[in-house]
Formats: sequence, C-alpha cells, structure tokens
Amino acid sequence: MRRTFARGGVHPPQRKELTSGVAISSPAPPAIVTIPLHQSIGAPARAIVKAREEVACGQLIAEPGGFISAPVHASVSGKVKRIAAFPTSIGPSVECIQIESDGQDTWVPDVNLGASECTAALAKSPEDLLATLAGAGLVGLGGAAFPTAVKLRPPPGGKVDTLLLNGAECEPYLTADHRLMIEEAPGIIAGLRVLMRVLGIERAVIGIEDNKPDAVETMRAAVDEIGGVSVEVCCTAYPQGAEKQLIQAILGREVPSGKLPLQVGVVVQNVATAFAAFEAVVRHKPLIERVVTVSGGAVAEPKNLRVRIGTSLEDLVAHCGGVRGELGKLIMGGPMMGKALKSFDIPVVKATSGVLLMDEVEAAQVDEQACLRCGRCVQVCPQGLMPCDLAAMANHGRLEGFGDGADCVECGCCQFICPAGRRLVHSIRFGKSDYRRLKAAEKRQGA
Amino acid sequence: MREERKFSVTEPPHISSGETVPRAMLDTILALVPVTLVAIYFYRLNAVFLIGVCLLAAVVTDAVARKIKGRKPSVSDLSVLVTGLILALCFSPLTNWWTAVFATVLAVGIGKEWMGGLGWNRFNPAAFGRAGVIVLAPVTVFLNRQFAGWNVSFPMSPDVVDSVSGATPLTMIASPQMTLDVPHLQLLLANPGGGGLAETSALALLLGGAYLLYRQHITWHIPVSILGAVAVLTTILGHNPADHLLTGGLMLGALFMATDWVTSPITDPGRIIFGVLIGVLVVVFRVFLGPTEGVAFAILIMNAFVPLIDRLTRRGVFGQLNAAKAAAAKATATKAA
Amino acid sequence: MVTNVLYPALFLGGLGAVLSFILLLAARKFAVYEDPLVAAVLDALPNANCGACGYPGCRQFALEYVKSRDTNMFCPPGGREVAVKVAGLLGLEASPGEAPVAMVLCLGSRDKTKQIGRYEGLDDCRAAALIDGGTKVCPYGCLGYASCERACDYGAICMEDGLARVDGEKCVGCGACVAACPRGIIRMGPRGTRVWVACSSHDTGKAVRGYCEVGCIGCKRCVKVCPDDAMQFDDFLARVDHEKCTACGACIAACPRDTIVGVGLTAEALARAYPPAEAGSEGESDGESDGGRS
Repeated sequence: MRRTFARGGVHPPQRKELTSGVAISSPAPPAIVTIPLHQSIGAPARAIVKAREEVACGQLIAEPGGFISAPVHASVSGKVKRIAAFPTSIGPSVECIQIESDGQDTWVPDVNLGASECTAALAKSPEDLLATLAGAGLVGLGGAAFPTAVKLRPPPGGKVDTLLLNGAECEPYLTADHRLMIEEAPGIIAGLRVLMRVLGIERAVIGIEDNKPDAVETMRAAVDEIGGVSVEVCCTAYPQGAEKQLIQAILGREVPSGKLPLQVGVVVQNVATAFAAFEAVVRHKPLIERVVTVSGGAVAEPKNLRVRIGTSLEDLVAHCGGVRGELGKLIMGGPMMGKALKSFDIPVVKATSGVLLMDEVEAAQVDEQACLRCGRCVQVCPQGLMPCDLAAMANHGRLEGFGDGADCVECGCCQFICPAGRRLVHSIRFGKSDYRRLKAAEKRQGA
Repeated sequence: MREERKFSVTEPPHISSGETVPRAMLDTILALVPVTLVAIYFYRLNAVFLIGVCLLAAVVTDAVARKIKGRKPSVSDLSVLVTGLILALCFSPLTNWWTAVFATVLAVGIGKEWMGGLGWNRFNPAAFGRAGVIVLAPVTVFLNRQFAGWNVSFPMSPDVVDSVSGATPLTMIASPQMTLDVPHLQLLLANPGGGGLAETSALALLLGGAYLLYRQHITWHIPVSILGAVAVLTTILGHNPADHLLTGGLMLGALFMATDWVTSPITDPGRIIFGVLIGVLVVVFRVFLGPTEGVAFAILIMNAFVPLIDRLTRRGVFGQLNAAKAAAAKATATKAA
Repeated sequence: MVTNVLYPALFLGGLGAVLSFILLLAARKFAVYEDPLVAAVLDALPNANCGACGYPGCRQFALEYVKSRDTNMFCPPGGREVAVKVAGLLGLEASPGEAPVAMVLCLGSRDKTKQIGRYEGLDDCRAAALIDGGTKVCPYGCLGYASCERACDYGAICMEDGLARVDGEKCVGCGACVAACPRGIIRMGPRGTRVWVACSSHDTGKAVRGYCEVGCIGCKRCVKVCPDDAMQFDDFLARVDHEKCTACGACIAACPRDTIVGVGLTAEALARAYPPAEAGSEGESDGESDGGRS
C-alpha cells in the first residue's frame, strides 16, 4: 500500500504536464535586479554596500540582521543603483538593493561553477560546513524561507535521527523540484550528504509523490551506493509536501500540535535546498539563483527557468514568450498557497518556487453564499480542524473557542472544496491574528 | 486617479474544486429521477400533477418569502426544487393538491426562509412540511372544505384506485390486526399499492442514494446507521426487519432527508450518532405509537440536537491525539513503576 | 359531563397551587438582597449592553456605580443626560464630562486615491489588510470594506465610495470601530472637536502625491499659519493639538490638499477657511449639520 498522511487532503487538478517535460533553461542574467533584504523568516538583513558601489556576482551585500536571518548576495555583477523601498511579494514596500548589471557576470574569486567532486568538501568538520551554509544565505526553498543554518542547529537536548528530504512538490502546476531531481540528482545527493554530516546522522529518506516516476527512478539510481539513504514513494495528495503531513506519510510519526518536527527527531529540507547546499559547499556559490516554474493558462510557453534572485517578473515572463490571452491572476508560488500579486513589477526572491499566470477561467471563483454545513471542509482538513466553525468564529469575533485555529497551516484544502465558495482561509487567517491579539491583551490584563 | 492593470487579488487558494451548491442540488434531483419515473409509471398524470403543484408552490413561496425580506428569489440554487420534489414524493397520489401546496408553503416559507434561508435553517424543510401537515390536520380539513369545489383530479384506473385507497403497507405492519400481504420483492422493486409516491420502489431510491454517494454529496454514515438501527431494533423486537425497511417514508428519509447538508452533523461520528438515534425514534414511533409516519418527526427531533452532537464529537486536532495518548501511556508507566 | 371538566380542573388547579407554594418557599429561602438603587440605576441606563464604559454590560456598571459611588464612571451612549440622572439617584453631583466621538483620519475615497489590482477576497477590512491592504496603494488609508460599519451598533458609520464616515450625532463614543479597524485610522476625540487633520499617512510628501489627492504631504504650511501654535508635526504628518486650537480656520485655508477638516466653525472662521471665491458647499453644510451639536 502506498503511503500518505492519515487525514483529509484533496486532489486538485495537477496541470503539471505543462512544464514537467520541459528541461530547466538558464536565460541570460537580467539588466537590472532588485534584491529585497527581507527574504527569509526572521529579521531582515542589513545592507553593507552603498549606492554606486561596484559589486561582483556572489558578493555579500547584506549581512544577517539577527539570529534568525540570512545574508543576501549580489546576483549579478555591476553597480548598485540605489537602496530604497520597492513593492515585493513580501510586502508593498520592502527595503531592496537595486543593482544594474554590467553584462560581464564576473564572479567573486574562489567560485568554481563546474566542480562536482564532493569528497574533499565532505571531509570538513560539521561546524565548518554549517558556517559555509549560513554564509551562503541558504533558506528553505520550498516556500517558507526559514534560514537553513538555524534549522540545522537543533537546540540542546533535541535529538535528530532522520533527515527527510522533501521532493513531494504537491502544489499543482509547479515542477521546479521535479525537474531539478531529474537533472541534478547527483548534486542533490551530495547536498543531502552535506546536510547529514552537519546534523551528524546516518539516516535520510527522500519522499517523492508517485506522480513523478521519472524523478523517483533517477533519485533511486543516484542513491544506489550510499547506505542509510532511501527513496520512498507516497500517493499523490495535497498537502503531502507540508512538513507534518510528509513526516506522517513517510515515517509514520505524528508531530505534536504546536511543536516542531524536531520533537519527533526529524529535520525536513527541500530537495532544492539540498542542491543549494551542494553548490554552496562544493562550488562555493552562494544562493543567488533558483529554479522557478513559470506556468499557467495565460503564459505563451510555460517553462522551468533558472533565474537570478531579484529578476523582475516582467523579465521572467518575457523569457516565456509573454502573456497569452487575458490574464486573470498573477500568483507567486503555487495555486493553493501562493500569493496573488498586483503587478509584474515584483522581483523573484529565494522563496519563489513558481510564478503562475492564470487566465480568466482558471482564476474564476465560486460565488460566496451562506455555509451549508455540508462538512466537506471538515473531511478534507489535514489538521483535523473544523474550518467552517473557525471561520464563523473569526467572522463574528467570537474567539473564545478559536484556540485550535493556531494549528491551521493555511493549506487551503477547505476553501478549495467548499461548494458554497466560503472564503474560509481568509477568515481563519485574520481570526488567527485577532486571537493572538486577544490572548496578548488577556495576558497583559492578568499581569 | 489612475488605476493600474486590473489583476484579481485574493488570498490563496486560487483554484477551487468546481463543486457548487446548484450542482449538488442538481445531483440530488437527478438522484430522485428514478423513483419519480417509477411513480409516474404507476400513477400517470396524478403523480405528474402532484409533483408539478409542489414544484410550482415551492418556487412561488420562495419568491414571495424572499420578496418580503427584500431579497431576490433563490430558485437558481435549485434547493427549493429539491424540497418541493421530496415533499411531493412523500404524498400519496390521492392527496388533495391544496394539502400538498400547504405542506410546501410550510416547508419553503417557514421551514426554510423564515428560519434564515438556505444554510441557516435548523430543520429539514421537507420533513418540516411533511410533519407540519400532520400536526396541522385541522387546517388541512379547513382547506378541504374551502377548496372542495376546486378539486382537480385525473381519472385513475379502478384497480390502481383500489390498491391506493386500501391500507398502505406501513399501516399493515404497524397495526397488530393486520399483516403485510405484499411480497418484499415487490416492495423493493415496484409496488403500486398505497403510501407515498416514493414508496413505489425502494430500489430506485437506493439507486439515487448510490449516485449521491458516488458524487460524494453524502457519506454512508447517516443512511447506513439509520437503516442499520431500524433493522437491528425491529429484529430484537421480534418483527421482520425487511417489513420496516421497505415501507413508509424510511428509505426516502434515510437517503434524502436525514442526509440534508444543512441539518445534519458535520463529523463522521456525529453522523453515526444522529443516524442511530433517528433509527431508534422511527422504531419507537412505529412499534409503540401505532401506524404513523414517524420518519419526518424523528428527523426533525434529531435536527434539533445537531449543534449538540457537533460539539460533542469534535475531532482531535493533528498532533493532539497522539500527544494525549503518549501522556496517558507515560502516566500509567510511571504509576506501574 | 360535569366530571369531565371538574376533575381535570381540580387536578391542574391543585398541581398549580402546590407548585406555586414550592416556588414561594424557594424565592424566600434563596433570596439575595440587592440594593434597590441598582435597579433604579439600571433603569436609567440605556441598557444597550454595549460595553463602552468598560464593563461587560449595563448591570455590571450599575452594580459597580452603586458600590463605588464614583461619579467619574461614565456611560458614553447615555451621555451627559444619563450621567446627571444616575448621579441624582444616588444624591450626587454628576462630574463634568462627555462621551468622546469617533473621527476617521482619512479622506481617501476610491476616486481620490490610486488603486491597484481588483480585490475579490472576503468583504472584510481585516482580510484585505492581510494581502497588502487590498487594492489601495496607500499603506495607511481607509481600506473601505466596512468592518467599522459592521462593528458599530448605533448605525453611526456609513461607507461612502470606499471611505468610512462617522455621523457625530449618532456616535455614542463606544470605540467599537476603533477596535475593528485594522489600519487604526479611527481615533476617539473629545466631542466638539472642530478642526483635525484627516490623514494618517507617515509617507513622504512625494510618495503621498503619487497615490492620493487629499493626503497630508508634510508641507508644514498649516504649522506656519497657525496663530495659536496648535499644529504639531512629526513623521511627515501634521496633527492638531485640541487644547490649543481655537478653530480659527487659518490652517484649513492654508492646506494645499484640503486634508484638514473643520466642523461647527463660526461664521468668521468659515469665511477665513473657505474664502468666498471657492466657498465650497462642503464647509457650509458641515457647519449647518453641526450647529445643533455645539
């Protein structure tokens, strides 16, 4: 029997066929990049360059602004144009460094883009490796953008026995991880070994959904000779790629509510993060580019592109033949959890796994009407919540019973399935912030 | 001021399953087509007339009731048509048209719209209308007198009139003096003798229920637990369970009225509790209270308990269940040590 | 025939008598003494249970009022009238004070601000605020999805072209709208406030010019012309010091963006604020509607 998570889940139309057969292409670096300083969860980075300064590709331009924070590197060589607030996917005005490319693409010394031999690199001490990963600005590339180095440094007392590599890629449309696994399997495995060495563990599992048989095959072939690493296949179901669901599907462990996977001895990393770790350690290349799926009904040639961080979506879409037909919605990320954007004038960030241009038909929404209490949302909630009740509490400001809502991962299954078109995720999201505020106020009053 | 390119912005998710309320209602109507066809086959124009009257009354009542509240008619979501059709199928072909109209007005006007409209009604509208005409029998009698001259009916072949006007299978099994003289197979497949339109074929109803299950509009929990509870209880009480399962409005109620989204629990354990208790009430009504149609009342009574059932059957949140278990195990372990 | 009526009547009557006797005993036995003043105070209160006074409901307010005899306790919906009445019940003098009034610090209706995108999410400001403020470019202004209107129990707020407006006559000062606004642009101010800056943007003048026709651009002209030194300015936004302001209308005339609002102004101030050449209907109607209040 194929594995999957225990409860809930939905099967949205995959539409991965648009790009799953298209090899990753690397367009020329853009003429100008806008690199946000706030690209990871935690504190924004602090700029260390000034306007009109010359920078090389891969040069550190902003250092971490706190413990949970990641440095930022120049993704093209050229001149810093200005440092100012721009609209980004993180917020409407975020401090960014804009660099005008000189077209040379000169890299900082010491970068070896062709290297693939990792024996020497793996001989380094875990502390050195961790420092390299932190210095390369690695963050989780699955979408959450949590600084990788922080995640790999378990708090004292936390015991990790398994590294779970997330190759589920359960969001419809997206195939960036899929293509990466096919084309860069040895690199991913080398990165996996780096991560295992940092954690000091011997066991790793790569979880892949069964809609990617070719990726399973290449990964199986690549791990063949390494002991302790296995590739596990699970059923295709959304949200398989959510940390807690994947751990349950592959390892059968249930992460307690409100706790991290560390609690059950697991660290989860995305396959793309593993590949970035390989590049950082073996090629000395900081995280300045990533694979992005550009797809959807309103894009002329859906593609997987390896693009520099800071490339504007305008350029990205131009590489894919531009907009075709009527554009209904522009989304950064997947269709289930991605963020709808208001314009093309937004840069790609480390967390951008995909850019979707949906046509009017794809973007159409069900008209909203009163909840019919059909219970479909309860059936599909992977977290075992009652989305219809939580949304009603949030809408009416009756938050006494909202406590469970904190466990909502905003995967969107409930709203996807709702026949009444209720905007459940919206309500629960502001319910969560209202609830936090209420609790904080109560605490203040109590104190 | 200037407006930028008009992209739609919303929170995620940006796609939906395509399931809509009108689609679900249409599926329910489709699921009722087989039994409707069987009824029309036996009762010809009488059945067509009764169904037509109920549908028309449902649409008109909806329009009027919503007009009073200053809203547009809600016919487009088809839910009033479902209510009207289910109600029509509850009645015998001999029912006066004004009784059917009265029941539909009760169901749609009071049971649905006055209780807040689709989604807010606490009681199943069809069951409400069906039970309403029973409780308000004096009103029906009054209506009978008022509209006596207006009776419109269609010629029915004499043998059908005979079979219909005699005792219904339900009265036969429920009264101690009589025994059921119709073979079970006939009740299951096609039975022109007495009772509501929907009582003509249990199989056609089951077919419709299977379609709803296949389309995932209902889950197995409610119908199976109602029918199961009735079967088990009647067996214990020394009756033949098949007698009960195949007669009266039980099949229609279990598959189409109790499974109504709005008025049934949303958790699976809740649905089982709900179904079993309906089954128990139906048996109590039928066996201890005489030959009455208890299904509608049983459903209405349990409808009232739905919020309570929902609250009592909250599920454990992901990661809370096992944590509780682990804590309990640890506690016992330390105790043992 | 007689027994048909007699027995049930006797039985039910007897049952009623017995039960009422039990009720009587229970009422005596479990009676809790309550100061009759509490009931009297409760009667004088509006009994809207709005919570504006800081107590869960009118009853709790009455209990506390009678217990503490604190005339500073104030019922905002009831206003001055109720305060006098309630204090009178306890033989006290009502302390001076009036319910505050809500003010919307934004004038950016849909036609006056730049919008971007087409918002199709939940019709609630809190939801819109989660996705970078719906469609409004201004990160400070009124979102226009009527959360405050729904929060108001007194129908004092209405939305006009995507902008909340407060009806000062209906506003009782409960503050429910302040809590409901995710942008925090509704403030409670003293009743009778006549001049205020209706903008909340702390962006630079250049940025504000880019997205709003009526936002404060931080030009400080109002600060310069104010004869009473009542204009404060910090973080690119002007603010009126209500203690010092004499509502002369000078700042209103000086503001190049019509960001400063004046209500209930004297005829002289009106003339100064809106010079005859462009004596807009806005100023006059505001003056009239507010005449009764001040």
